[in-house]
Amino acid sequence: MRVLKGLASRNFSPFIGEITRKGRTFYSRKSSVLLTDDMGLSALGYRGCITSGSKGKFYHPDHIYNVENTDLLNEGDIVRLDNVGNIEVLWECNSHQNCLFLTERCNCRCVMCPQPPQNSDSSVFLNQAEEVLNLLKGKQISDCCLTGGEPTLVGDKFFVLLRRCVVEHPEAFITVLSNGKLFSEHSFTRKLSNIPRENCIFCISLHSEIDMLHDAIVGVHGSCSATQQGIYNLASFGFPVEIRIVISRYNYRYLVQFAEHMYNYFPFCAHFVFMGLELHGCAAVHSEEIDVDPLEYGPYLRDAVLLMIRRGMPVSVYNIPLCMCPSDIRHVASQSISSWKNIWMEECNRCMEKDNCCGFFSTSVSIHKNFIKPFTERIER
Amino acid sequence: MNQYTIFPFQFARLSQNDILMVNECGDFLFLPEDIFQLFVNHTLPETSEYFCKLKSHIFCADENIEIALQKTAARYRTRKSFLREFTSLHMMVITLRCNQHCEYCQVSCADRDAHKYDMSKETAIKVIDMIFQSPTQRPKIEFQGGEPTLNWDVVTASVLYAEKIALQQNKNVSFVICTNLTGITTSQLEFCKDHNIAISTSLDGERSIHDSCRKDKSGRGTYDAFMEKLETARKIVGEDMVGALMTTTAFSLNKLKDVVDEYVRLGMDGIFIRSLNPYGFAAEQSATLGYSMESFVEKYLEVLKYIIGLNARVFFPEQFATLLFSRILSPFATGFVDLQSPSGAGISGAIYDFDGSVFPADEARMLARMGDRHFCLGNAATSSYHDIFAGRKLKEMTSGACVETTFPCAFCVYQAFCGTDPVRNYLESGSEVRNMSHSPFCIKHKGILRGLFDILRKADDMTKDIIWSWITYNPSLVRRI
Ligand code: SF4
Ligand code: SF4
Ligand code: SF4
Ligand code: SF4
Repeated sequence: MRVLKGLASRNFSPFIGEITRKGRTFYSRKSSVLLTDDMGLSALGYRGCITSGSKGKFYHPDHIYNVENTDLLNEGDIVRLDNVGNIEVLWECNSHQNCLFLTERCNCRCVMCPQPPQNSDSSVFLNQAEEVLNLLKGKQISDCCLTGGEPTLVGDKFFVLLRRCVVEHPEAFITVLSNGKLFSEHSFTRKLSNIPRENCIFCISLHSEIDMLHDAIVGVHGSCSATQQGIYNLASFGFPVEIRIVISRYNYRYLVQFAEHMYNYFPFCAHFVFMGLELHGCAAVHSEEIDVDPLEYGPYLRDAVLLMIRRGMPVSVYNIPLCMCPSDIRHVASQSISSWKNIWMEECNRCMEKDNCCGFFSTSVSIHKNFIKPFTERIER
Repeated sequence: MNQYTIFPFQFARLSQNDILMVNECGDFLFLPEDIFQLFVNHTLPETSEYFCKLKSHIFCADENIEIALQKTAARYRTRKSFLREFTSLHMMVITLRCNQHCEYCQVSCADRDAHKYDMSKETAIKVIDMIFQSPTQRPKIEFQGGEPTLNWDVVTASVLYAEKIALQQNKNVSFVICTNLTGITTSQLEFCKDHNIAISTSLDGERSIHDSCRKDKSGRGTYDAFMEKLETARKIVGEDMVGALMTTTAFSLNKLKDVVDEYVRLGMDGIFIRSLNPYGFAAEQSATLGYSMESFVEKYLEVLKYIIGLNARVFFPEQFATLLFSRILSPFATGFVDLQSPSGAGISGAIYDFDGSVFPADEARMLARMGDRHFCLGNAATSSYHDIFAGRKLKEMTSGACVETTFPCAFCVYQAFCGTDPVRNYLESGSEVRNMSHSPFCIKHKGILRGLFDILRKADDMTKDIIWSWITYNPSLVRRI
């Protein structure tokens, strides 16, 4: 999530509002945050303000001042302001990667988790998600992703929020990022029955069909079978399922076998995605143990993807820069990294394929720099 | 002793050191002999790569057998899902008359004017009423003969009536007409075009091969007449709506490559190398037309390799191999009435004779022509749908017609890909169920499946691409030279 910083006008309690630069009529200012260069009379009546200029007066609404890079904020973005001076961008109007973050808790302990689970109280996130949805009501959005931690751990609230997303935004594509374990309970999956299936998909992480391997990766015994059972249950309720495989030192040699297994036993899934690592959080701590370079995993990834293409399976590769992707599977690689944490290296500036490349995670502690090889001409597609 | 659970599977020692294993739902694996021994003796270390492979292909599980069983069951259900549709292929014998007199004709070559062998309009209507009682959403009606164009009024009446009923019932009906083309008229072809009727015709190969069997009443070859009409038909109905079938005879057995070349030359979208059906009329001719199943298998595999080679240049599937490769490699159901378990006779396809008699398969009808009405399920004009399709005869026949319960199919490594044919069993042995060892049916399928597995094991990337381009009907998979 993108965060801007400034100074808080006073010790207010955090609040959420929708950015406006243009200004609103007086009576529609209550849920908006005015973005302005200097705090004048026109700032009255708003829920809050953000200014690149100096601190306003005592009669001004709560605000954050001395903020740099305010041009990163757009009309309609949804932000959370707190008394430490943080402006968290909860919703970016111009992005196709918006998320509702539901919890920091998780029932897995993945070695490569970029956001290590915390046992914190989820209610703050849930209220926040609800407020965001309130502000989005009646607007056109392109997509929305429910995520965490493990979003299903919040139980009934999860179903309520998912239903709101799907029903209030039939125009949007709703994704749920989950490890799917809770759906192994039929009674839990059944709670999905009043949710329309047309515009949502469950993206379930499964890193291997071999329980020893998957369970070692996610750190909790029994996860492999629970996740797979979850996928079967979701599919039996008619929900589209995408399988996401994170490539690490643990599983890269088994990708081909896994690809074949997915064709044989998960042919009903809507999409299959191989993902590169984001070396952040736990993944950064364990990078020795999990990181594997493109030269090593490349041939396996290639064979696995080609096997799936042959079989007509919808397959994609996320988070792997084009120059590190074996040439015959480059056409399934996508730009997959959220813009706020997406960076490129210096060499990339002279690369002819930069506009098709996913680039790198700014959050990763290390990058396979030695493998960067700018394209001197466009590649065939 | 390791505590893993081994699931049921079939296996065979194919070559030197390799064992082919196939599990209950048709997933397979090759395993070296020594590993196999360790595995079945529960002494294969659970950390070994082979153990992972066996687990991945669901030959065993250690702790959690639930999910493994669920996967097997799901795939098994999917593979047998052709049963859900019930009978969807319905063949109507529009007339036994024909303008040709082919050497291997199994039907009859009743004279052109023997009108008593025509299906009447009344019968046709009754037949179509029955067809639409089948639960399938996509009935396919195939007009057969003889030469159905000789009784054209009944074809048109049937099409119009079926279209009407389909509209009422909101079903998706499709039509095929099996014709030798030689007597077809432009207006008949235009009718086919207007009503989306696919044309299935016969072409045995280039001129000398074709003419050696496919003759007119006076014994002259029909190649020229056929070619002329083929062109007209393609022009009027469209190339993709005109398909051809070939029959391998002793004349072509050693020249199958020439047959393939002729098909490629004509721009056909593939070929089905079919063996001669050794019954009916052809039986009397078997001395001149026939060959052993062993030699067919040998020649089939030979020409198949030739076709795979051709695909480096042009997309041209062999359809029987495509079917079997799909069964071996894909988790999905494949509809093919002649090779199914339970047998597709009656429950996937049915044939209605000119007089309305209903039979589970074409050969059953021929048997009746020869005087044995053993397989007659009833008559569309006088029996109810229930009597015929839920009657004792079909039930009894079907319940015995499963590879899973037939000797030695029940222990055969190819069981998951093979099928049964009770009608043929009866023709050969006098009983719907027989010991399949050494039967021509088994020699053919065992031989071909063995050959296909051999191809698969040795397949390079190009061959894999070709095979998958056939299965998925996706020509763009292969980078052609
Ligand atoms: S990667 Fe996902 S499933 Fe794994 S611990 Fe992190 S949040 Fe949980
Ligand atoms: S050089 Fe940079 S932009 Fe070009 S493919 Fe490699 S990582 Fe992507
Ligand atoms: S065209 Fe068909 S029906 Fe006519 S004689 Fe030849 S095989 Fe028999
Ligand atoms: S017919 Fe032969 S090949 Fe087919 S399943 Fe039976 S024994 Fe096996």
